[in-house]
Amino acid sequence: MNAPLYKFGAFGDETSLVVAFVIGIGFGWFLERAGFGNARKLMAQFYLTDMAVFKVMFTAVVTAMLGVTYLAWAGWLDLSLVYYVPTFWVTAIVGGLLMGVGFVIGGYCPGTSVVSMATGRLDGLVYVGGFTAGTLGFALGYPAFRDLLAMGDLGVLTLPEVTGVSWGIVAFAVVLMAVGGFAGATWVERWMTAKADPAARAD
Amino acid sequence: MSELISTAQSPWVDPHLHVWGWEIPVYLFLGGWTAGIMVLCGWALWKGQRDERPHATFSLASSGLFILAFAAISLGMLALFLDLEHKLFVWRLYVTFEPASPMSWGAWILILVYPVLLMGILLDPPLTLTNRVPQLVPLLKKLADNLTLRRITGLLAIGTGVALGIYTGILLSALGARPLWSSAILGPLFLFSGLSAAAAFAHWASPDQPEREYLAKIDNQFLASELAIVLLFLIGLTTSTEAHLQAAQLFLGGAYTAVFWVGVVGLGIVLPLIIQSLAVTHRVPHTPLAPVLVILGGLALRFVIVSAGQISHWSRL
Repeated sequence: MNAPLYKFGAFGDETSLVVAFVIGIGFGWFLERAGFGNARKLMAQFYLTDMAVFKVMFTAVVTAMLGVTYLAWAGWLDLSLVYYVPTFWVTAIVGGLLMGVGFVIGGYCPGTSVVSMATGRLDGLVYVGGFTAGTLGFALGYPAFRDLLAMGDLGVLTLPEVTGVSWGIVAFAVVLMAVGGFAGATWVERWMTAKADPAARAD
Repeated sequence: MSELISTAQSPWVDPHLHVWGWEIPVYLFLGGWTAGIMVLCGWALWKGQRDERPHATFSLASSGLFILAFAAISLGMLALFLDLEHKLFVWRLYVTFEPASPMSWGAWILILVYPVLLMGILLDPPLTLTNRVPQLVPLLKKLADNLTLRRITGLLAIGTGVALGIYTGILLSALGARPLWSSAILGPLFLFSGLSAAAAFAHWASPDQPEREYLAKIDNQFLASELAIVLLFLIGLTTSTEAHLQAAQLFLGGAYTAVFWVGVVGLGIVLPLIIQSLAVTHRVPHTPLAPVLVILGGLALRFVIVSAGQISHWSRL
């Protein structure tokens, strides 16, 4: 059996929704187990006192990237059939800023707010209500946002194409970045925690 | 150009049979939920449990759940009435009894349900009733203090509850023209779905912490049983005739796959089962989320089965 499974007709639209549900529940489960259903834990990332979000998300990126790389190398995954999101750099910056501001104010991103709500937290419930209203507002006001959404269109870009370096080298570089990032994050975490609590520095 | 239509394909001879709207699934759900409440509260009465609070609560041994069940089955009956084509002739159901007709059985079971519910309410009369009719208080107290009467009422509640819960499934499975419904296992499936929805509401609404935990554990057993019955239902269909296999395909890659596996099985059974299993072992807080999912899942089950069943059909010759 070759992947992408959906593109090769292993299952249809209806079953793909079931697969999405199972993956979504699994994602939510591990977010919760990592403590990401708690706004305090998530906010600690922005104060640099707990870098778990950075580490978990970077680990997820590296794991997925290595999985895709090895599957393609083994001939089980046809990368040409994998969907890549086109780059709209202006839209991405505006959207990223909005998302970041919302994250800091509300204490969650959309995924973690659902996890929070699922564990019975009221702030998570309020946040889900907020982003549902926002989604609805966006859908209703879509004609007004249409031009913004298409700003900075660069088409589909991948790092190997832009840099001219092979896929394997890029993957290796990202792994090195992750290892360096984890070490740096751990150092920052200790330093910021000590700064916030001088007693801890004495220890 | 003239178009020839053979007799069997003429819409006047063989019209489409997708004739049941929201009324039937709502009735089936409310009937199943009432059945579940009757079994749970009946069990509490049979064991002689009693809520000593001066007013009705939603604990199993109080009359709050019986009152809600009374309202729910009445709303269900209203939905059923709205679905009737000849509403003025509804009374005819009650001047005959046809042993071979599930509808006739249902009509009479529903008649039996009301006095049992009323008895359950009177064994723990709400303050509204005793304040308005104080003359009844001595009689009601005598009834409430009679343990034999409580146990008999409990037994009757369990019996009529089980009959009502199974009937809501048999009502569909008796219609052999729809292969998806043509399975006797729909009776137990709807009964256990009703029991799980009732237990979910009860452990959400109960005023007692120990009872909440106990009911959550019971609900987990109902949900696990329901899941097993769903799988048996599908195995039964897939190992039967070609028409039954095609009916099962509606859930196995066909038009109802996502809503069935995500809405009914995933969100309505498996996810609350996991959450409640963690809640009863105190690893996650006990929140209304799981019971709400179970109740909505029970409603979704009826909508999906009723809607998909009307699409399933025997192949034309």
